[in-house]
Amino acid sequence: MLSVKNLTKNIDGKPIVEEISFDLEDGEILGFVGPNGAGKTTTLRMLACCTAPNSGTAALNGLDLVNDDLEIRKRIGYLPEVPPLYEYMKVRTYLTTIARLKGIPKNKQIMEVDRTIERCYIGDMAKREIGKLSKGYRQRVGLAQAILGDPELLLLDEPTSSLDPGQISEMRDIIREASGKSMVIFSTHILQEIQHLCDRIVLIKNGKVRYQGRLDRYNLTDDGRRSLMLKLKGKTQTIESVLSTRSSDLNFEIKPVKNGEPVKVSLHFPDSDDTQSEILKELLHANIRVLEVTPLAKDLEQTILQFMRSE
Amino acid sequence: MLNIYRKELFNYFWSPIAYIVIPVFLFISGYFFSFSLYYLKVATMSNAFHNMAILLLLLVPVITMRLLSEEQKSGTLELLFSMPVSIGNMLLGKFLSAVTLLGIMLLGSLIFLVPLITFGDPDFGPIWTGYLGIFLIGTCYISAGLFVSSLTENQIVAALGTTAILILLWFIRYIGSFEALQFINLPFEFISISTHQGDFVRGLINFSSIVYLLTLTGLFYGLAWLRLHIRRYG
Repeated sequence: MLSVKNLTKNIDGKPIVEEISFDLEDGEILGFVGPNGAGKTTTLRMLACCTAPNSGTAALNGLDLVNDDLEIRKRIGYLPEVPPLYEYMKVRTYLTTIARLKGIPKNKQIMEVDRTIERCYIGDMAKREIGKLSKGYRQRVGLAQAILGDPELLLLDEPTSSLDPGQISEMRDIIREASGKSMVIFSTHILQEIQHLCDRIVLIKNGKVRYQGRLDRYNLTDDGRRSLMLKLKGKTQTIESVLSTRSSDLNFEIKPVKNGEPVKVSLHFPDSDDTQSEILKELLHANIRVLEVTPLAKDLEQTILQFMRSE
Repeated sequence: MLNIYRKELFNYFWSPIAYIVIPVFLFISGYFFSFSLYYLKVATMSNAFHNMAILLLLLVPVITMRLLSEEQKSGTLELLFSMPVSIGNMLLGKFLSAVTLLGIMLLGSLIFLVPLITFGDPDFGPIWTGYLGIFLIGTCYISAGLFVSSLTENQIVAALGTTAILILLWFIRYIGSFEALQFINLPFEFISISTHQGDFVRGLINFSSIVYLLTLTGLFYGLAWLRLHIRRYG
């Protein structure tokens, strides 16, 4: 587990990161979201021991970021925004060098390198010189370097920026697979990334945390209730009678439609999966066909943009 | 430390640097050596050592220029910072890899002894002290190069900067020859590397020379360490 407390960094007297605090549980993927210049990279660099915080601490499984930094560095994998590659090395040589530097035991180095090459789909490039690889492959070699040796904490700085959609999806697969063994923090300003990958997000702007929490909270509306839009096939009266029999905590509205067309119903009820499945079950029992269930969630993108715009 | 050393040595022999610097060193110093042997007909290497020291002023910066500049430019310094390697070990590995290259160059120059032994009866005392001297001077140059390389991510700037510092340190004693500056002649004479080289070549193992060269090496090494330390923790 990672616990970050009041991490602060000033550069040239100007605060870049101010009192950032968050926790990360084992196996979680945390999205670090914010506009350019928000302090995402600086925070990741602090956690990667590349720069020391001015104040505040972080603890990785009980080890202190500042006092045990050599031990911490054995337990992290870091991919900076520009992948740190030795252009003149072949992919396999590079990863072997990294394995040595990471202090992976000699008898495990070859196995570990082979496994990582496979995990990152770079087998066909293993004997190529890094300087001659395309951007997508370079990024993957950079990621391979970070996940080599299954570090306890993976720090990825915009790992998918400037990749094509196919590469992005591969990259996501690798990160998701890696999260089985590591906690992952990755920074991004691409909102789809968050929806696809993250368990939790930290929104950061001007060096301060604006919001943090689990991502599923965003499926709720402002008042903490769940809203659904149903498209149903069946008699309007039947639908109305089924929904009316439920307790008073359910609000619904049936949109008027022409005869023969599916009925659109908006539902509003306390957030619970049980309530939702019960309602749907009752509808099915009454021979109503459910054609579509759309959550009327407040859009994640909207919410994030709102956070970003607010001061 | 050993892993950094291996990586750097690999880089020297993967890139053209080793294959250019070593032959250039041996060819040019060999050229001057045979030239003076032919004209002076004295079985000594004192001129050769002098020429080697000057040649190294130009070649060591080529060896050291990329040691830290390249890592800074390609962002791999960040990578090394995130690895379980201390700054001291990282610098030591890099320093020793360059010293190894210097050692190979000097070992190669042992071939000059062949004509000396074949055609003459050289006094080995000054030759071995001369080698000790040139080795200490070379490591001092390397340390200076390492420091300058930590200051910039541009390799050309690192090489030229190192050359400038080394030339200054080599020739600074000539400042004393200006009449107006006679009164500070002595300190300049002492800090000039060429002064100390003279002793070694004459067969003297001057304790103060060894201490001075080691101190200078340590000073530049310490500055390089300080520079990286500030970059990381500052």
